[in-house]
Amino acid sequence: MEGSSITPFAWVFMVVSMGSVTALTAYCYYRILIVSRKARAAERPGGSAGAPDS
Amino acid sequence: MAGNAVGLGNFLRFPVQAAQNGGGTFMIPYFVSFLLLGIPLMWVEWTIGRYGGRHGHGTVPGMFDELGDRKRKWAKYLGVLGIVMPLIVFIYYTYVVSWMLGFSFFSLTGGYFGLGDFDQVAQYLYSYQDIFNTSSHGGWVAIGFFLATIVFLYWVLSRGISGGIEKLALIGMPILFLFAFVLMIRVLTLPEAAGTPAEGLNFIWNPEWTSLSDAKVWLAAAGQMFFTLSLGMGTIHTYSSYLREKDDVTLTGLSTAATNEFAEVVLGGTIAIPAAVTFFGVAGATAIAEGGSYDLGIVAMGVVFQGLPGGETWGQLTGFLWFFLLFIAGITSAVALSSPAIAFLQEEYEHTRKQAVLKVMALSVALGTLHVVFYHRQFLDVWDYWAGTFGLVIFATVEIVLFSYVFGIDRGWKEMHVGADLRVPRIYRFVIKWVTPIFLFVLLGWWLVTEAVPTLLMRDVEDAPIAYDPETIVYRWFSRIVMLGLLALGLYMIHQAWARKAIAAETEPVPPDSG
Repeated sequence: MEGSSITPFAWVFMVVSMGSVTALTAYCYYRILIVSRKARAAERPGGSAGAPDS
Repeated sequence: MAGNAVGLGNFLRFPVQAAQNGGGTFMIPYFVSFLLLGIPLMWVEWTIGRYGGRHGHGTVPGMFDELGDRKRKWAKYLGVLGIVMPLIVFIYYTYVVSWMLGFSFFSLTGGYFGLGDFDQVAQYLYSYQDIFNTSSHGGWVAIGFFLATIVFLYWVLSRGISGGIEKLALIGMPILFLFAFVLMIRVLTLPEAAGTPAEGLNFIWNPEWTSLSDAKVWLAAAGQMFFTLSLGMGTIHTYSSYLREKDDVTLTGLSTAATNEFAEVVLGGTIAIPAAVTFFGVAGATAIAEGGSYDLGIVAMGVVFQGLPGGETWGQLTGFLWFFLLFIAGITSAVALSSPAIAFLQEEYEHTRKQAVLKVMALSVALGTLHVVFYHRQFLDVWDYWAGTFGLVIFATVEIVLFSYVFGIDRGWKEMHVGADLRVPRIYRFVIKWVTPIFLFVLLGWWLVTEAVPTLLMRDVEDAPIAYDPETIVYRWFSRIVMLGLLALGLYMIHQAWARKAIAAETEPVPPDSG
């Protein structure tokens, strides 16, 4: 791949855009993971949301 | 829901829209649309759907009626857009999905292998799409794959969403993502031909600032945002109507949008365009994109699979898997697109699911055949422009005004956060009330001033969304009339459904006074 045929602005635009979209996706799935772990903990007998694992 | 949103829009429609609208120039309005239209409307639609479901409505006419507290009689008629628009998209989209089935078959049998030249693969595709062009395929081939897709869809829809397609999507979608990632690496390491992959990336990420004043680019970007996120269609409303009162809509909505954008921007944007530019140069890739709304990705990948290391068998298997996964992704989206019409018949006309599915599929076969026969007369492109782009913007404008001003932003904001796993930043309250509606009105006004008349009258204007061709003008008018006919039918059916409800309410026996 010839890096020289991409302008500096295009590089910055591409990296920022792809990075932002990837970060947003990762953040969403991280939040889903946290929420589902809390829900599972709350469902356990005697469990409560946010309780530390034994 | 992310499985429904990820589909052909990401890997086929997005590259074409970007190439048709200047590459990098398209990406700026695209991201502005994501932040100011895509994300807020996603939250709004999930909220309206759940609210409507709580009040016994699974489709948009009933939901809009409920948003107006059943006092505004006109609101339900506006909901026709949430039934007819997805049905229109469903009909032509099913035909496009059938191409994926066809190309998975051609990959497996090596049909296009040996046509190493980009132009030859394009001709192979055009012969498939145009049943009167028998240079590579007989006219029955496209019809055969279309009918096979319809039969498969009928089978999936009759079994219900959770009966099989959901499980298929759960397995198929991660594989599609992984596969797209591998293809992306392959495309970026392609040797220089008419261009280089880097030139392709430069085309898609280097904006031409002067073209940003073109309304067409902004409308295309907004239209793609709606199409790819399944916004402005009524499908999200129907799906979220099944949610329970305290089920989250904020985190779910944002996750759906983010996953789809990852598939589209990171994967979809780095496969078809760099591959097409490498093989055909920027001008050639743009010319292919102008030829049809979905062609670029199919042709570009057809060439890529032939050049994979590991020999022809490996290339054939890879091609089969890629197109078949796209077929599955397309089927999940098609299932969602058909759901508002099916739910409407079940809810308002007391049809069983099988009856509703049968009627919708029969209509799809009848009207879909018009697309198969008149594809080369741009029958499909007309529907894709008016329903798949313009219609979605119109529907979104209607629903945001109803949500923010008729239902009221205070009630809407509160409703959105019932059971929410994610607190929406307060700035978005302002965006939903002011920025999104103004953005949509400006977009539509701008389009009216600069493009409405020439586009409506099909005048030969430079960069017209649908290129002028005197030979096909009659077919394009016919195409528009069929769409308008569907809209009129939808309005009539809503009128009838509410008239029946009124009669049922009048004849209902009054309960005895318990006092």
